[in-house]
Amino acid sequence: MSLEITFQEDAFQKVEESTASFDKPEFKKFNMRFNNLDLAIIDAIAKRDGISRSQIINGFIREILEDFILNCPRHEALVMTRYAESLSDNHTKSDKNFKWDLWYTSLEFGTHPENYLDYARMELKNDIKEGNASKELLSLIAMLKKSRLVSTDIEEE
Amino acid sequence: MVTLSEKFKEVKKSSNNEHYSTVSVRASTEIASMVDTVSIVTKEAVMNMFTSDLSVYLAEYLLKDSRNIELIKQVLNEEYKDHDPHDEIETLTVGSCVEVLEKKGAMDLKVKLNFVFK
Repeated sequence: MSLEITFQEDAFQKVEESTASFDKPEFKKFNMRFNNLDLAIIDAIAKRDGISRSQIINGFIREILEDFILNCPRHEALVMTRYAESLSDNHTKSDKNFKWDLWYTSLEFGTHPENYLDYARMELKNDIKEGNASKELLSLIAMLKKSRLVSTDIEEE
Repeated sequence: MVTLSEKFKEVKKSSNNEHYSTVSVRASTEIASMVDTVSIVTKEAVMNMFTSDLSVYLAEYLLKDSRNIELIKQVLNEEYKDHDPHDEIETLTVGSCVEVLEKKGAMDLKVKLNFVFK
């Protein structure tokens, strides 16, 4: 026994081949070393909660990075978040609205992070220009410039 | 400032230690960009950058839910079964979240020897 299925093809709208393109988020792979017992515990959590090992590890990495930035002095955090943002240029993020520098300013200074970011950049630029920047900050900027992973305007700040 | 012994512990982790594994982590662009940035400023290879922190953060995570007690017990029992009997029990837990939990006084791990007297 089988079904005989016929369609009235005219009843269906003809759609031109879609020209709309969706930006596919990009990912980068890193090799990371972890303790085997930690991995076994993460796998057990993943199994219990129905999520992947990768999701859990990524969650921890994000938390570690955020805490690292939040524990840095303000100007150093601004330089690093700006540099990270410039590394994301021309790449498609998973969360298109996320920006490290805005994330930092919104957490540290609350509302209107864009305005504060402009002000903080100006202040940073002036500190460097007038020789008020700390040695640590200058060496951090030099290190990032030297890495040449991306050409940024950090040197202009 | 990292002491010489702490640095030495880190180097041992990065060497071919059987208690550590290298896994491939697929990170989104936004996370990857900050990983690269932090790797530059800390002069730390990405490979070992999160090894110790993950243990600490995992321990904190485990403390947030008492259901994790059973989960830790289960994993430790399973891992102990595969453990080389000639090794000390500490080698199984050294550098892991369990060691962090022990240091915090949240748990204590001892090997119970079962003797059968005839």
